[in-house]
Amino acid sequence: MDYPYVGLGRLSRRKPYSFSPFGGSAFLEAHAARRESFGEELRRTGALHRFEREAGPSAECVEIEERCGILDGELESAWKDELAACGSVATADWLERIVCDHRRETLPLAGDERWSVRVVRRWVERFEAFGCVHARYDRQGRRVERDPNRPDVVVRLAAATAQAGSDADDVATATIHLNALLKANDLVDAQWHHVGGERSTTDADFALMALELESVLLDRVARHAAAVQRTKEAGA
Amino acid sequence: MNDRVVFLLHPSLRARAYLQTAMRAGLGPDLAVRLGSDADDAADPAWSAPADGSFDPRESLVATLDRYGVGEVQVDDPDVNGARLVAVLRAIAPSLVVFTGGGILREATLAAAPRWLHVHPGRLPDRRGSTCIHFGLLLDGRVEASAIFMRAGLDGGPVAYRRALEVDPTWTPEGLDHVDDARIRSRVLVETLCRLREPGFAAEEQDAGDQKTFYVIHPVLKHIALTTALPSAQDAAREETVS
Repeated sequence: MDYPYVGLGRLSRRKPYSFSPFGGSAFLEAHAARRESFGEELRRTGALHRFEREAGPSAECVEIEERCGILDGELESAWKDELAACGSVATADWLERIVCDHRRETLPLAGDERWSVRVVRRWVERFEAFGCVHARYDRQGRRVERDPNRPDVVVRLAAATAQAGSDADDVATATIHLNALLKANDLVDAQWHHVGGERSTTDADFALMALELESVLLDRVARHAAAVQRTKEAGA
Repeated sequence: MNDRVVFLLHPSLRARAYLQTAMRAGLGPDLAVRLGSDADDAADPAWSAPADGSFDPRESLVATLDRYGVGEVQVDDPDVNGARLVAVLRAIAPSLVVFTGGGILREATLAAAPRWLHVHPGRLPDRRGSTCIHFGLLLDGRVEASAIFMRAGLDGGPVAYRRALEVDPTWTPEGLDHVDDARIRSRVLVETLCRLREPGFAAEEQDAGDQKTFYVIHPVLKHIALTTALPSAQDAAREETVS
């Protein structure tokens, strides 16, 4: 089975997910395989190679902790947990560097230079409700310019959503962000493979970060669902 | 104003489930407003029968109304926000309209009756959105439905009744999008209509601080929910592995 939500059709249909058919475990395997292959492609062209060249794969955990000190309190507390869960030192250090890049990035939203929780929530709601996101909104959430699903904006939306999902304290909020992230990553994949134009290395960094965190969030939600079932079965 | 309950019947599987289940329970409407033409009231061949036989998806709305002798007003325009429907409701002046779906109601439509009852398949206020059956399975391992008196906005309004439903082994992955969804909601509708008759009944305002909106579920999350919580989906996955 091929994963069906990353083809050309994903570009023409903004909201293809209603009443999606059941494909059993084969569907989940197809999704995992597609994400793995896209991740490999991004690694070949983007972030991990740069990290390995610049910082080397031998970075120690303690250095990562020190570097985390440059992040503000909100990001630091959220990302230390995420870094701790990463397993691979190289990947953890890479993710931490992405966070730094991300903090320097100017959000393409009018009047807000950071991806605050409030802005990301607004962005996600627009994306979910309309199946697209524009480049600029004002503080009241009104669209400033019409520019639907510009690839560099979509990849930043995915990265910001991934970060917000990782920051979530409760599994319900994490699930809401993961739901949007899965859709955004489908769109990123479809645009990456079916829309022409130059890709910046930053876009590749963000895309890979969003894929890595999708996997972490999926694991969190799946473990929660399994734990709920175990509790119910134990109660019965 | 009359003390009159009206079912607003949009041509759908859910409307058939609501009407038949309520009539069987002796809680049917005083009058029905049926949207769409007679041709719109045809069964979709894809509609399957519920495992518990609680309603017959092949029986048209007209046939059920005839069988129980319930009067109807037909409004050809199936738009739930149509001007004709608003005029009809104002003329009938019902005390309660049971909403069977068909779109998001505008404020002008809601203003045509003092109370609109809607069954949402999620626990309100923290499970808003149209696919909360699946989010309920994913996050809670069960389905919780809420009957609300509708206000403008998604799943807003005071909660008349909440009901938690453990997973039924006859629910299927396909059914939860259609026939089982209708079955769950119609059961909760009947229980709500009973509750409305109880002395001292009072609806409960939703706490704005707890509200969470879940947009249409992504197929990956839907599959995790189904394969984790639904026995029939687990059976299907096992058969797939064996073959």
